[in-house]
Amino acid sequence: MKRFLPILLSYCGVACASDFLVGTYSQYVYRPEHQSQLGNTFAPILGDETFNVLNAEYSAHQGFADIYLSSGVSYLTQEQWPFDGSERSNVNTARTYVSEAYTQTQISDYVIALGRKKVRWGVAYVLSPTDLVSQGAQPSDPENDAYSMSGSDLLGTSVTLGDSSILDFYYLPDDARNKAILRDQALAFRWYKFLSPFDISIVGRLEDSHQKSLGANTAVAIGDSLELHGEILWSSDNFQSYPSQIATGHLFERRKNEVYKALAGGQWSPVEKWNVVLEYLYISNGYSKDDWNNLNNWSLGGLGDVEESDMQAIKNFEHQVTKRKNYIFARSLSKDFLGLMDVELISFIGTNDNSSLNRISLVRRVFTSAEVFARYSFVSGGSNSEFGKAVNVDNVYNVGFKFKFN
Amino acid sequence: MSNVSRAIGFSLALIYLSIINCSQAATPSSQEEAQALTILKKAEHARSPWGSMVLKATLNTTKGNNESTEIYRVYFKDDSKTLIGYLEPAFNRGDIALMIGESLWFYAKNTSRPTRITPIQRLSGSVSYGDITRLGWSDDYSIAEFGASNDDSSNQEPPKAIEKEKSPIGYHFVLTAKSPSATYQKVELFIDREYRAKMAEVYLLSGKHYKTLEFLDYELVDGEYVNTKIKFTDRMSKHSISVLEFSNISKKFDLPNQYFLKEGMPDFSKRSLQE
Repeated sequence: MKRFLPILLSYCGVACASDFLVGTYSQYVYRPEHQSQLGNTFAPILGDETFNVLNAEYSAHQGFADIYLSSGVSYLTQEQWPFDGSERSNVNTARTYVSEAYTQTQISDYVIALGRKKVRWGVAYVLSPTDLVSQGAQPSDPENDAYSMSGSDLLGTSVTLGDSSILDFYYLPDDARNKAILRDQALAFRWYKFLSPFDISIVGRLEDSHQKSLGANTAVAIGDSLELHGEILWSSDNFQSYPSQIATGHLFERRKNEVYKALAGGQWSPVEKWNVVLEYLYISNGYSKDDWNNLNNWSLGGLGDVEESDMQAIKNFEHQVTKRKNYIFARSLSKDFLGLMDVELISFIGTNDNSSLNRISLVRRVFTSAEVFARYSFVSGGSNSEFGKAVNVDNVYNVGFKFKFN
Repeated sequence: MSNVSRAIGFSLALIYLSIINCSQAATPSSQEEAQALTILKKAEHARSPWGSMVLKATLNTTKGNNESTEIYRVYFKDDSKTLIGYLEPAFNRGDIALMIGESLWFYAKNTSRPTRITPIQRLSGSVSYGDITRLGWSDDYSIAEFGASNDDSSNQEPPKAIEKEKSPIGYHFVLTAKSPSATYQKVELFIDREYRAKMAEVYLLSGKHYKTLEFLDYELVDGEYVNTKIKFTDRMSKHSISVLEFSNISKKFDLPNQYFLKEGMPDFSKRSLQE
């Protein structure tokens, strides 16, 4: 290896452009002691926690290809009250992760990519229905401050047609990483066209299990401060788990029907350094009022031994961001407010029961490489409402800092 | 020449041209307008000689006792698209801005979506996004007034400070916004006899005097003179001065077309880390 190192370095001296960027994210979360408001969650109730991430990015051009790597390690210390009533305990979790790791090369108008990559096709700020390749932004961390979102494993190509169209094809293997958005290996495509002032995309995905998805999205710029956008998606199968209505022997059941998702919204920058996002999301396979009431009528004591398939369904359900049909997402960001700090307000409202998840953030740049932040999160809604059950993000205080250097 | 003497020179030039303006500059006739447009385009050429080019922009801002430096890589493509990659400070590395025609977007690295911004929004210090994304005037502004200092009808003696200049100010323009992508509502522009912009006073929609831009240096690059240094004096924020310097100017670059589309911004954000 020593023999080849000088050759490699000299090669890089003439053919490589590269750089490292290291980022850290640290936060302390304070949760005033509270009791679960519901009797049927299987997620542990959380106490205070500390969370630290060290993330490194490497971007390089070597020979004929670009290489990009974003990877890191996180360490979480969390106080937990397990749902089974056992003693509270401190749980320490160290995790290494590879958020993205891919190489891509350009041959004429074709860009060929291989590896783990975030691919965004949707035009919404959060929860884009047409993000068929990678998981989209989440309402709880839309800016990915905590490096929580990862890409998908893929092999694909993008071809630029003229100077305003892109055609993408991706193959997504059936692996552990891709299970976050897929049930099987899949092929996905997108045709994108910029037809000033419109951005238009048609997207599709075919899974080996024969589930098909087809959708479209558009965004239009109006004046110099407004953008409106919309998305629609049809899927051939419904993978939602619903609480059983009859004594089937299972807690959950599946339904055979098609699924539609639609989103409409806009972002507006009425004055300098102020941006507002407002979006409405409809999900046809979300829980109806009856489904929700069935869920609330469960009682832990009556469940007895839970089958493995049901336990998995419960876990999936607990991690599901949207459980019902209608949502509104609103965000206001005021940069450099009063010359002191950035102020961000986020509200994610379930309009089926008018419960909501809310966050206020204050962020201030210190020096040139760091930001300190303070956040307060709370939920509104009754104990049986969708977000009323989200006790772990209710009345929660976060303080922390981000730091980047190269 | 020191900054003080340069400022005095420009002040005298302003007075001189104001006198010309009072005596002869007026709404131009169609013939004058054609002549004015030709001169304006020549001045634009010295700011952006090629429809496509790349450069490194270093922005130094002094505000009171505070000094800051930002560095950007800027790509201009086909006269209508501009891509700005933030290089320094490290915290902003990977942030990018893209202008396509009249629309301008900002993408913060790793975030969800690009957000709309306006050309007048501050990039940093006294510099607006429009100051760097749009180097010309003729597409965005109408010529409301035009005056030439070498007009025989002017009996005014030019101030000595201007006579001593190698290329004294020869043309005075008042430009008014005609396109939504215009950064300012009104621009008072002074161009020398070698058709290079020397100074611009820019005004907001409210009529307020916003900034003074002094085009300080021009350098020969690939056989063309290119503006390489601009000083911005913020008239609404006391003691705020920014100096924008262009270096590593090249008319050749190799970027896929998709980076000049809004959909390509996240990908370009990662690639821009290599700079």
